[in-house]
Amino acid sequence: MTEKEELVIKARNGDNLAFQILIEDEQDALYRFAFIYVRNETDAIDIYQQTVCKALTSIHTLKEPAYFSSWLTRILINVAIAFLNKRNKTVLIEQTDLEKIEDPNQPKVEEQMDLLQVLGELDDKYKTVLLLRYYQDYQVKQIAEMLNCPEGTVKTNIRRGLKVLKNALKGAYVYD
Amino acid sequence: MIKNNSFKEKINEIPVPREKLKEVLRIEALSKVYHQKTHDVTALKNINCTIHKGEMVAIMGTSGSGKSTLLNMISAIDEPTNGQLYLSGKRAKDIYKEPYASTYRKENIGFIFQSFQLLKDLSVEDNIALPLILNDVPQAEIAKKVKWMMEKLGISDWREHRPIELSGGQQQRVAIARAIITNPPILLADEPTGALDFNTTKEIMQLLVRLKEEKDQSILLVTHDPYVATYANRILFFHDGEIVDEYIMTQTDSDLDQILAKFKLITRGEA
Repeated sequence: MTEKEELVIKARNGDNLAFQILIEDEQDALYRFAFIYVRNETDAIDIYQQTVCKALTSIHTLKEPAYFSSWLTRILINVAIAFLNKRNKTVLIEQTDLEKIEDPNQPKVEEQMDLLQVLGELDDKYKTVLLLRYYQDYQVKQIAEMLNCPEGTVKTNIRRGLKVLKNALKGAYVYD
Repeated sequence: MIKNNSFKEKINEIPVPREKLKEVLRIEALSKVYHQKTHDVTALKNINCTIHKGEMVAIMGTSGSGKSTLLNMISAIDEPTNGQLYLSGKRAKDIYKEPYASTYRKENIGFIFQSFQLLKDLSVEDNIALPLILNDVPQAEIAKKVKWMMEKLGISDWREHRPIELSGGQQQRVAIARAIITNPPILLADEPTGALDFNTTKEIMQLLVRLKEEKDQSILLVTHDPYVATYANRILFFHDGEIVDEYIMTQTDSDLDQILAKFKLITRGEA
């Protein structure tokens, strides 16, 4: 058993200090993940804090200590999406929207769009899988389990999300 | 395929506001006005304050200064007229209607009172377990958590006793265990030592400090006792519905004198 798994077991038994240590390790990644969804500090802080709160009160439901990080990330995704649905601020940029932007009859946009901006404006389903795959390094199988959907759906959403990024960022972050 | 680590690096450029992440309670421009038949009563005026994880903040003020009203706002017993209140990132404004208010309280607030408020027909162990039962925690987990908590607070020997068989200090220990067993972000303590003698007061306040430090527990403590207030990290002085002064503890001998002086000013209405 790893040191982290031992901490998870202690946290599950009520050891708040063990829980704090676990959260501190994940803090930066969790906050940044939240920030990509809401694109402002205040809301990202709120999502982070709600996530930690939910995790603290429901850690007894975590069966496998080894899955603490993915369990925590799943809570954050649910909190973020619920937050956005409530605030009704989800902005969709699908590929078709980008094709309109790149209409040859319109003046070309000279300045490259920023990765964070484009990522933040992606549909939630693309944003989520790209963050899980390329920011937190989860494999497709793990992502499918976390999101409770087929692996094929995960792969499709990764592919589509990457295509949108590639078109918007003109190859800055994505290989052809 | 994402190029190298550029994706990750770009996201890692997002700055993390570590201090703000430690905020547990944030109150912004909070006010409460009660509309009576002939006139309005402003119980709270433009309250702004923040409490962080592991911080104990004391509130001192005369009767009618707004202390209890503030606790009622935080615990969603009553609804503010204006302003915002965030507890662990959740906007409290969204939960003032039942049944949401009860759920919010159950999940986020621990309470301890001057009169302990233990259930007289339940044992110590069952009193402590009650919030976990109300939160639908499985029985096996309840047993583990209650055992851990009783050991941590040194009250295992009394597990089968009824509250009436315990002293005031012992009852307050049990009440504290019950209040924090669900790990609420904030513990509201309303004159927790009001019914206790000096030595027991010291014992209970030392316990709260230990919780603050070991569990990172945030505590908002209402007290009229300047000695009790010295255990806090800082003190907010209320008068006539407003925060009129603040004192940050220096951990020196002058703290008690400073608190006494400031408290005298507000009781004389000179704040």
